[in-house]
Amino acid sequence: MSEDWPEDAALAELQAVMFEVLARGGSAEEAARALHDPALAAWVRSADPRAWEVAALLVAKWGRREED
Amino acid sequence: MRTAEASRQRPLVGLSLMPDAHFLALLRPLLERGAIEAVEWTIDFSFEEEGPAELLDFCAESDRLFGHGVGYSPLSARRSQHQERWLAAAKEATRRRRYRRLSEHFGFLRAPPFRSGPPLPMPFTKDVLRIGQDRLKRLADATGVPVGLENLALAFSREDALRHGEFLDALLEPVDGFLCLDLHNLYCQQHNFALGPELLASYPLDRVRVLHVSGGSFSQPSMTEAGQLFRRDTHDSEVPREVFALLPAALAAAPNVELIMLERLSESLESPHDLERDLEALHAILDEEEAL
Repeated sequence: MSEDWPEDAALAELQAVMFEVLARGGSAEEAARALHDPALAAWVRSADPRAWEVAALLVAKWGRREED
Repeated sequence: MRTAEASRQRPLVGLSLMPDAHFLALLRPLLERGAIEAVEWTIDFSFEEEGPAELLDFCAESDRLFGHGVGYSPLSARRSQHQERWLAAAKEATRRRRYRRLSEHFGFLRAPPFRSGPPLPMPFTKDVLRIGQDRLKRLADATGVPVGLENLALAFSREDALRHGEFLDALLEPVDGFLCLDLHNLYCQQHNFALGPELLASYPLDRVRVLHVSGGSFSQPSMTEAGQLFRRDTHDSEVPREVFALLPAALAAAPNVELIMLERLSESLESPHDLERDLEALHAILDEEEAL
Protein backbone atom coordinates (compact mmCIF):
# COMPACT_ATOMS: atom_id res chain seq x y z
CA MET A 1 0.00 0.00 0.00
CA SER A 2 1.41 3.32 -1.06
CA GLU A 3 2.08 6.14 1.39
CA ASP A 4 0.44 8.37 -1.19
CA TRP A 5 -3.16 8.44 0.02
CA PRO A 6 -5.48 9.46 -2.79
CA GLU A 7 -7.42 12.64 -2.05
CA ASP A 8 -9.92 14.69 -4.00
CA ALA A 9 -10.29 18.46 -3.78
CA ALA A 10 -13.88 18.65 -5.03
CA LEU A 11 -15.05 15.98 -2.61
CA ALA A 12 -13.13 17.63 0.23
CA GLU A 13 -14.96 20.86 -0.56
CA LEU A 14 -18.29 19.00 -0.59
CA GLN A 15 -17.62 17.42 2.79
CA ALA A 16 -16.43 20.64 4.41
CA VAL A 17 -19.40 22.59 3.04
CA MET A 18 -21.84 19.91 4.16
CA PHE A 19 -20.55 20.00 7.73
CA GLU A 20 -20.42 23.80 7.90
CA VAL A 21 -23.87 24.38 6.45
CA LEU A 22 -25.50 21.54 8.38
CA ALA A 23 -23.89 22.75 11.62
CA ARG A 24 -25.51 26.16 11.29
CA GLY A 25 -28.84 24.77 10.12
CA GLY A 26 -28.51 26.04 6.55
CA SER A 27 -30.36 24.53 3.62
CA ALA A 28 -29.20 22.09 0.96
CA GLU A 29 -29.65 24.87 -1.58
CA GLU A 30 -27.26 27.06 0.41
CA ALA A 31 -24.69 24.26 0.46
CA ALA A 32 -25.13 23.61 -3.26
CA ARG A 33 -24.47 27.27 -4.11
CA ALA A 34 -21.17 27.14 -2.20
CA LEU A 35 -19.82 24.27 -4.32
CA HIS A 36 -17.73 24.62 -7.48
CA ASP A 37 -18.41 21.15 -8.90
CA PRO A 38 -21.79 21.24 -10.69
CA ALA A 39 -22.44 17.50 -10.38
CA LEU A 40 -21.80 17.51 -6.65
CA ALA A 41 -23.90 20.65 -6.28
CA ALA A 42 -26.75 18.90 -8.10
CA TRP A 43 -26.45 15.94 -5.76
CA VAL A 44 -26.71 18.17 -2.69
CA ARG A 45 -29.60 20.10 -4.23
CA SER A 46 -31.47 16.82 -4.74
CA ALA A 47 -31.47 16.09 -0.99
CA ASP A 48 -34.88 15.49 0.52
CA PRO A 49 -35.44 18.44 2.91
CA ARG A 50 -36.51 16.06 5.68
CA ALA A 51 -33.28 14.07 5.37
CA TRP A 52 -31.23 17.27 5.24
CA GLU A 53 -32.91 18.53 8.40
CA VAL A 54 -32.23 15.28 10.23
CA ALA A 55 -28.59 15.44 9.09
CA ALA A 56 -28.43 18.93 10.61
CA LEU A 57 -29.77 17.59 13.89
CA LEU A 58 -27.12 14.87 13.87
CA VAL A 59 -24.28 17.30 13.15
CA ALA A 60 -25.53 19.64 15.87
CA LYS A 61 -25.47 16.76 18.33
CA TRP A 62 -22.31 14.90 17.31
CA GLY A 63 -20.21 17.38 15.35
CA ARG A 64 -16.93 18.37 17.03
CA ARG A 65 -14.52 20.96 15.67
CA GLU A 66 -10.78 20.67 16.08
CA GLU A 67 -10.84 23.32 18.78
CA ASP A 68 -13.71 21.74 20.78
CA MET B 1 -33.56 -23.08 -2.15
CA ARG B 2 -34.59 -24.25 1.30
CA THR B 3 -32.47 -27.41 0.88
CA ALA B 4 -29.34 -25.38 0.25
CA GLU B 5 -30.07 -23.08 3.18
CA ALA B 6 -30.68 -25.95 5.55
CA SER B 7 -27.06 -26.99 5.25
CA ARG B 8 -25.72 -23.68 6.49
CA GLN B 9 -24.67 -23.14 10.05
CA ARG B 10 -27.13 -21.43 12.35
CA PRO B 11 -26.09 -17.80 12.87
CA LEU B 12 -24.93 -16.79 16.32
CA VAL B 13 -27.00 -14.34 18.35
CA GLY B 14 -24.84 -11.60 19.82
CA LEU B 15 -24.87 -8.30 21.61
CA SER B 16 -23.02 -5.10 20.91
CA LEU B 17 -21.25 -4.19 24.15
CA MET B 18 -21.41 -0.78 25.76
CA PRO B 19 -18.36 -0.08 27.93
CA ASP B 20 -20.06 1.28 31.06
CA ALA B 21 -20.58 -0.54 34.35
CA HIS B 22 -24.39 -0.35 34.15
CA PHE B 23 -24.50 -2.19 30.82
CA LEU B 24 -21.93 -4.77 31.85
CA ALA B 25 -23.86 -5.50 35.05
CA LEU B 26 -27.05 -6.09 33.04
CA LEU B 27 -25.12 -8.39 30.75
CA ARG B 28 -23.93 -10.87 33.36
CA PRO B 29 -27.17 -12.87 33.88
CA LEU B 30 -27.72 -13.05 30.14
CA LEU B 31 -24.24 -14.48 29.61
CA GLU B 32 -24.80 -17.01 32.38
CA ARG B 33 -28.07 -18.13 30.76
CA GLY B 34 -26.45 -18.52 27.35
CA ALA B 35 -28.68 -15.93 25.69
CA ILE B 36 -25.60 -14.26 24.19
CA GLU B 37 -23.41 -16.38 21.91
CA ALA B 38 -21.04 -13.70 20.60
CA VAL B 39 -20.19 -10.08 21.23
CA GLU B 40 -19.38 -7.09 19.13
CA TRP B 41 -16.89 -4.63 20.56
CA THR B 42 -16.50 -1.13 19.23
CA ILE B 43 -12.72 -0.98 19.07
CA ASP B 44 -12.73 2.83 19.44
CA PHE B 45 -13.82 2.29 23.07
CA SER B 46 -10.54 0.60 23.95
CA PHE B 47 -8.29 3.13 22.25
CA GLU B 48 -8.50 5.07 25.53
CA GLU B 49 -9.47 2.44 28.09
CA GLU B 50 -9.05 -1.30 28.27
CA GLY B 51 -12.75 -2.24 28.48
CA PRO B 52 -14.05 -5.59 29.80
CA ALA B 53 -10.80 -7.42 29.02
CA GLU B 54 -11.71 -10.76 30.55
CA LEU B 55 -14.95 -11.04 28.57
CA LEU B 56 -13.34 -9.84 25.35
CA ASP B 57 -10.44 -12.27 25.74
CA PHE B 58 -12.85 -15.14 26.40
CA CYS B 59 -14.85 -14.32 23.26
CA ALA B 60 -11.68 -13.88 21.21
CA GLU B 61 -10.37 -17.27 22.28
CA SER B 62 -13.63 -18.93 21.16
CA ASP B 63 -13.75 -16.97 17.86
CA ARG B 64 -16.88 -15.12 18.95
CA LEU B 65 -15.51 -11.61 19.06
CA PHE B 66 -16.56 -9.27 16.26
CA GLY B 67 -15.05 -5.82 15.92
CA HIS B 68 -16.80 -2.63 14.94
CA GLY B 69 -15.38 0.82 14.30
CA VAL B 70 -16.95 4.26 14.39
CA GLY B 71 -14.08 6.68 13.86
CA TYR B 72 -12.20 5.71 10.70
CA SER B 73 -14.35 7.70 8.26
CA PRO B 74 -13.49 5.62 5.19
CA LEU B 75 -15.01 8.06 2.69
CA SER B 76 -13.28 11.21 3.96
CA ALA B 77 -11.75 12.93 0.95
CA ARG B 78 -8.68 14.27 2.77
CA ARG B 79 -6.02 12.30 4.57
CA SER B 80 -5.89 13.39 8.21
CA GLN B 81 -3.81 12.70 11.28
CA HIS B 82 -7.01 11.56 13.00
CA GLN B 83 -7.52 8.89 10.37
CA GLU B 84 -3.90 7.76 10.49
CA ARG B 85 -3.99 7.58 14.30
CA TRP B 86 -7.24 5.61 14.15
CA LEU B 87 -5.69 3.14 11.73
CA ALA B 88 -2.63 2.69 13.95
CA ALA B 89 -4.88 2.14 16.98
CA ALA B 90 -6.98 -0.39 15.05
CA LYS B 91 -3.80 -2.23 14.11
CA GLU B 92 -2.75 -2.36 17.75
CA ALA B 93 -6.24 -3.46 18.90
CA THR B 94 -6.33 -6.35 16.43
CA ARG B 95 -2.76 -7.33 17.31
CA ARG B 96 -3.68 -7.51 21.01
CA ARG B 97 -6.84 -9.57 20.53
CA ARG B 98 -8.21 -11.76 17.72
CA TYR B 99 -11.31 -10.40 16.02
CA ARG B 100 -13.27 -12.62 13.66
CA ARG B 101 -14.37 -9.66 11.54
CA LEU B 102 -14.16 -5.88 11.64
CA SER B 103 -16.77 -3.51 10.23
CA GLU B 104 -16.91 0.25 9.85
CA HIS B 105 -19.55 2.70 8.70
CA PHE B 106 -20.32 3.53 5.09
CA GLY B 107 -19.89 7.28 4.86
CA PHE B 108 -17.71 10.09 6.17
CA LEU B 109 -17.73 11.68 9.60
CA ARG B 110 -14.73 13.94 9.43
CA ALA B 111 -13.94 16.97 7.29
CA PRO B 112 -11.68 19.74 8.59
CA PRO B 113 -12.32 21.75 10.69
CA PHE B 114 -14.66 19.04 12.02
CA ARG B 115 -12.71 16.23 13.64
CA SER B 116 -15.80 14.07 14.18
CA GLY B 117 -19.50 13.92 13.56
CA PRO B 118 -22.24 11.52 12.49
CA PRO B 119 -21.59 9.31 9.45
CA LEU B 120 -22.99 11.19 6.45
CA PRO B 121 -23.71 9.83 2.96
CA MET B 122 -21.73 10.53 -0.19
CA PRO B 123 -22.78 10.31 -3.83
CA PHE B 124 -21.75 7.20 -5.76
CA THR B 125 -19.00 8.59 -8.02
CA LYS B 126 -15.74 7.15 -9.31
CA ASP B 127 -13.74 9.54 -7.12
CA VAL B 128 -15.54 8.56 -3.93
CA LEU B 129 -15.14 4.93 -4.93
CA ARG B 130 -11.39 5.33 -5.49
CA ILE B 131 -10.91 6.88 -2.04
CA GLY B 132 -13.14 4.40 -0.25
CA GLN B 133 -11.47 1.40 -1.86
CA ASP B 134 -8.07 2.77 -0.87
CA ARG B 135 -9.12 3.31 2.78
CA LEU B 136 -10.63 -0.16 3.04
CA LYS B 137 -7.45 -1.71 1.62
CA ARG B 138 -5.44 0.18 4.23
CA LEU B 139 -7.75 -1.10 6.98
CA ALA B 140 -7.49 -4.69 5.76
CA ASP B 141 -3.70 -4.45 5.45
CA ALA B 142 -3.26 -2.85 8.87
CA THR B 143 -5.45 -5.28 10.78
CA GLY B 144 -5.21 -8.53 8.87
CA VAL B 145 -8.88 -9.06 9.72
CA PRO B 146 -11.73 -9.52 7.20
CA VAL B 147 -13.17 -6.03 6.87
CA GLY B 148 -16.64 -4.82 6.01
CA LEU B 149 -18.99 -1.88 5.96
CA GLU B 150 -22.36 -1.21 7.56
CA ASN B 151 -25.17 0.33 5.53
CA LEU B 152 -26.33 3.79 6.58
CA ALA B 153 -29.72 4.74 7.97
CA LEU B 154 -29.51 8.20 6.42
CA ALA B 155 -29.86 8.71 2.69
CA PHE B 156 -30.48 12.08 1.09
CA SER B 157 -33.02 10.77 -1.41
CA ARG B 158 -35.00 7.74 -2.50
CA GLU B 159 -32.69 7.35 -5.51
CA ASP B 160 -29.60 7.41 -3.29
CA ALA B 161 -31.11 4.83 -0.94
CA LEU B 162 -31.65 2.48 -3.86
CA ARG B 163 -28.01 2.88 -4.97
CA HIS B 164 -26.35 2.31 -1.59
CA GLY B 165 -26.25 -1.44 -2.15
CA GLU B 166 -24.50 -1.14 -5.50
CA PHE B 167 -22.13 1.45 -4.02
CA LEU B 168 -21.26 -0.82 -1.08
CA ASP B 169 -20.67 -3.77 -3.39
CA ALA B 170 -18.20 -1.73 -5.46
CA LEU B 171 -16.39 -0.48 -2.34
CA LEU B 172 -16.08 -3.95 -0.87
CA GLU B 173 -15.14 -5.83 -4.02
CA PRO B 174 -11.33 -5.22 -4.08
CA VAL B 175 -10.89 -6.49 -0.50
CA ASP B 176 -13.60 -9.13 -0.85
CA GLY B 177 -15.18 -7.36 2.09
CA PHE B 178 -18.37 -8.24 3.89
CA LEU B 179 -21.58 -6.33 4.39
CA CYS B 180 -22.80 -5.68 7.92
CA LEU B 181 -26.46 -5.25 7.04
CA ASP B 182 -28.25 -3.20 9.66
CA LEU B 183 -31.92 -4.10 9.38
CA HIS B 184 -33.05 -1.12 11.40
CA ASN B 185 -31.15 1.17 9.04
CA LEU B 186 -32.87 -0.61 6.17
CA TYR B 187 -36.22 -0.07 7.87
CA CYS B 188 -35.40 3.64 8.31
CA GLN B 189 -34.90 4.01 4.56
CA GLN B 190 -37.99 1.96 3.75
CA HIS B 191 -40.10 4.11 6.03
CA ASN B 192 -38.61 7.45 5.06
CA PHE B 193 -38.74 6.91 1.30
CA ALA B 194 -41.78 4.61 1.00
CA LEU B 195 -39.70 1.69 -0.21
CA GLY B 196 -40.61 -1.99 -0.07
CA PRO B 197 -38.80 -5.29 -0.55
CA GLU B 198 -36.85 -3.87 -3.49
CA LEU B 199 -34.56 -2.10 -1.02
CA LEU B 200 -33.37 -5.33 0.62
CA ALA B 201 -32.93 -6.88 -2.84
CA SER B 202 -30.74 -3.95 -3.91
CA TYR B 203 -27.98 -4.90 -1.45
CA PRO B 204 -25.21 -7.43 -2.27
CA LEU B 205 -26.73 -10.08 -0.04
CA ASP B 206 -24.10 -12.73 -0.74
CA ARG B 207 -21.63 -10.42 1.07
CA VAL B 208 -23.68 -10.26 4.28
CA ARG B 209 -21.93 -11.90 7.23
CA VAL B 210 -23.41 -9.83 10.05
CA LEU B 211 -26.96 -8.55 10.59
CA HIS B 212 -27.57 -5.73 13.05
CA VAL B 213 -30.95 -5.27 14.70
CA SER B 214 -31.93 -2.44 16.99
CA GLY B 215 -34.64 -0.02 17.88
CA GLY B 216 -34.88 3.65 17.05
CA SER B 217 -37.15 6.64 17.16
CA PHE B 218 -39.09 9.07 15.00
CA SER B 219 -38.42 12.75 14.39
CA GLN B 220 -40.93 15.30 13.19
CA PRO B 221 -39.20 17.39 10.50
CA SER B 222 -40.30 21.00 10.65
CA MET B 223 -41.47 21.19 7.03
CA THR B 224 -43.74 18.16 7.08
CA GLU B 225 -47.25 17.84 8.38
CA ALA B 226 -47.85 16.35 11.80
CA GLY B 227 -47.72 12.58 11.57
CA GLN B 228 -45.23 12.47 8.69
CA LEU B 229 -42.41 11.20 10.81
CA PHE B 230 -38.80 10.51 9.86
CA ARG B 231 -37.30 7.31 11.26
CA ARG B 232 -33.87 7.52 12.91
CA ASP B 233 -31.39 4.91 14.09
CA THR B 234 -31.08 5.93 17.73
CA HIS B 235 -30.65 2.51 19.43
CA ASP B 236 -32.72 3.68 22.39
CA SER B 237 -35.72 1.37 22.31
CA GLU B 238 -36.69 -2.24 21.82
CA VAL B 239 -36.53 -3.75 18.35
CA PRO B 240 -39.76 -2.86 16.52
CA ARG B 241 -41.90 -5.51 14.90
CA GLU B 242 -41.08 -4.10 11.46
CA VAL B 243 -37.41 -5.00 11.97
CA PHE B 244 -38.18 -8.48 13.27
CA ALA B 245 -40.41 -8.89 10.22
CA LEU B 246 -37.45 -8.17 7.92
CA LEU B 247 -35.31 -10.86 9.50
CA PRO B 248 -36.73 -14.02 7.87
CA ALA B 249 -36.51 -12.45 4.42
CA ALA B 250 -32.94 -11.32 5.08
CA LEU B 251 -31.92 -14.76 6.31
CA ALA B 252 -33.54 -16.41 3.30
CA ALA B 253 -31.81 -14.10 0.83
CA ALA B 254 -28.41 -13.83 2.51
CA PRO B 255 -26.90 -17.31 2.64
CA ASN B 256 -23.68 -16.49 4.53
CA VAL B 257 -24.89 -14.80 7.72
CA GLU B 258 -22.71 -15.73 10.71
CA LEU B 259 -24.08 -13.41 13.33
CA ILE B 260 -27.21 -11.48 14.32
CA MET B 261 -26.20 -8.64 16.60
CA LEU B 262 -28.50 -6.69 18.91
CA GLU B 263 -27.60 -3.04 19.52
CA ARG B 264 -28.99 -1.00 22.43
CA LEU B 265 -27.75 2.09 24.23
CA SER B 266 -26.97 1.59 27.89
CA GLU B 267 -28.97 4.60 29.08
CA SER B 268 -32.15 3.18 27.56
CA LEU B 269 -31.95 0.01 29.68
CA GLU B 270 -33.40 -0.53 33.13
CA SER B 271 -33.06 -4.27 33.62
CA PRO B 272 -31.65 -7.35 31.87
CA HIS B 273 -35.21 -8.08 30.76
CA ASP B 274 -35.03 -5.14 28.32
CA LEU B 275 -32.30 -7.01 26.42
CA GLU B 276 -33.58 -10.49 27.11
CA ARG B 277 -36.90 -9.86 25.38
CA ASP B 278 -35.22 -8.99 22.08
CA LEU B 279 -32.57 -11.72 22.37
CA GLU B 280 -35.26 -14.33 22.98
CA ALA B 281 -37.19 -13.10 19.96
CA LEU B 282 -34.06 -13.51 17.81
CA HIS B 283 -33.49 -17.05 19.06
CA ALA B 284 -37.16 -17.86 18.40
CA ILE B 285 -36.95 -16.62 14.81
CA LEU B 286 -33.86 -18.77 14.23
CA ASP B 287 -35.67 -21.76 15.77
CA GLU B 288 -38.56 -21.22 13.37
CA GLU B 289 -36.19 -20.92 10.41
CA GLU B 290 -34.50 -24.18 11.35
CA ALA B 291 -37.84 -25.93 11.71
CA LEU B 292 -38.97 -25.04 8.20
